[in-house]
Amino acid sequence: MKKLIFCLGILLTSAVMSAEAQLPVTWSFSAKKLDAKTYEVYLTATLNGDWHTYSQSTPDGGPVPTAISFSKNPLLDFDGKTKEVGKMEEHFEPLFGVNVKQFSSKVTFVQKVKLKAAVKTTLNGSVTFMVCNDEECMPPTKETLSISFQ
Amino acid sequence: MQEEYQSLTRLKNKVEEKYKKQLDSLRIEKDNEKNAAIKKRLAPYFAEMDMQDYVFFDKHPKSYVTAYMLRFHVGDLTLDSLDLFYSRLGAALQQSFYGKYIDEEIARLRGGSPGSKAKNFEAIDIIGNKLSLADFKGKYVLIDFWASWCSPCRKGNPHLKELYATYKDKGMEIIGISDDDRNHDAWKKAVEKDGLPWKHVLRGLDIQKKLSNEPNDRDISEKFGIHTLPTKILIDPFGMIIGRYGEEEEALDIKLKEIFIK
Repeated sequence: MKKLIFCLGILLTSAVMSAEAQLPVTWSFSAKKLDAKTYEVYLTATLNGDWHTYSQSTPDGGPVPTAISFSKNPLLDFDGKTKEVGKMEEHFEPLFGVNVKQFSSKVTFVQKVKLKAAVKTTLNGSVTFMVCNDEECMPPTKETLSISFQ
Repeated sequence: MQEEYQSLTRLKNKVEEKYKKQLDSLRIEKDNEKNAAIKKRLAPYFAEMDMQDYVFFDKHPKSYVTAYMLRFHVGDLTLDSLDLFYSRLGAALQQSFYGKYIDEEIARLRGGSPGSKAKNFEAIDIIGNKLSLADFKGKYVLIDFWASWCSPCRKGNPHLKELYATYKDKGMEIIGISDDDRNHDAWKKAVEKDGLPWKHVLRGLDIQKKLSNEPNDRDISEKFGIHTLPTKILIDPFGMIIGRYGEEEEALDIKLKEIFIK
């Protein structure tokens, strides 16, 4: 135990403490069947610490908005736009001159999907997003997703 | 291995529980100043969360979980610590996917840290002229990795302008490297709005290459191991990196004073 504390002592003095505690965001993807041919697809971002990510509708001229795109699939129809479920925070940012729209802790993007026939198929897509906290930003990156409908 | 990861997660959940009230108040506080004050008080929380990982790495040097988690700390551990943890992974893990990934990340970080010779880069600058880092040998150069969409970066611009005004005639140049390849208009607007009088180039990001993990010789951020913005790197007249900074201003201020004000 003493040896461990000694080693940690060295690490403590050499490690830089920063606000970047852990991975800023983790994504999870799932789908819920509403009826024989209708599904809801969920893309959930869980934000850690003081990181936040941005709404699809955050205005031009500020942070890069979250963008979700789905690959074309002849067996699927998209019913309406991708909705956002979460506590959206909006504030005017003088640096950008726009009203920035963002989410902290959690946000779920919901897309209704209609199957043209009751068959098994897969929905592929990706979400491009960026995260910031008060001290730093991570550049936009992309997560791919693949959801099977039974 | 699942067990190890779960026990680490349990320890970190305990830390979150301990700070739950403060974390919740951080999430609901809309006032920027109050928010910043809460964050300052939460510094021990962030430190504890990091420490849980570091303790785990120390206790389980050859665990697959360590190789997996080490990636997330390339931005906050020092090069010394990273080298230490990497060396303790052992040959088998070092050859794994995560091991190789960490090795590459450490190499890039080393390439952008004090003690290394700054890699040369070439790009077309904002007014259409060819620019290369080598053009500036004989001067101190501050390369500023930023982006139009990065508010901590934009917040730091007024102070950078002050530094430029103070030191440019004494032998310092600034090269802004912006992560705005996807939107040149936003880049130009930001440079104009903030009134940044120094040299400007784009990062050279190729998103297709990035996603398929292909190396990209034109990507300036890759040459210097940049993970977050802002990152500022100070290079001496001989091309050696002598400083690397994040959003904090004091360390760079002190360094420049030491160099120029004798």
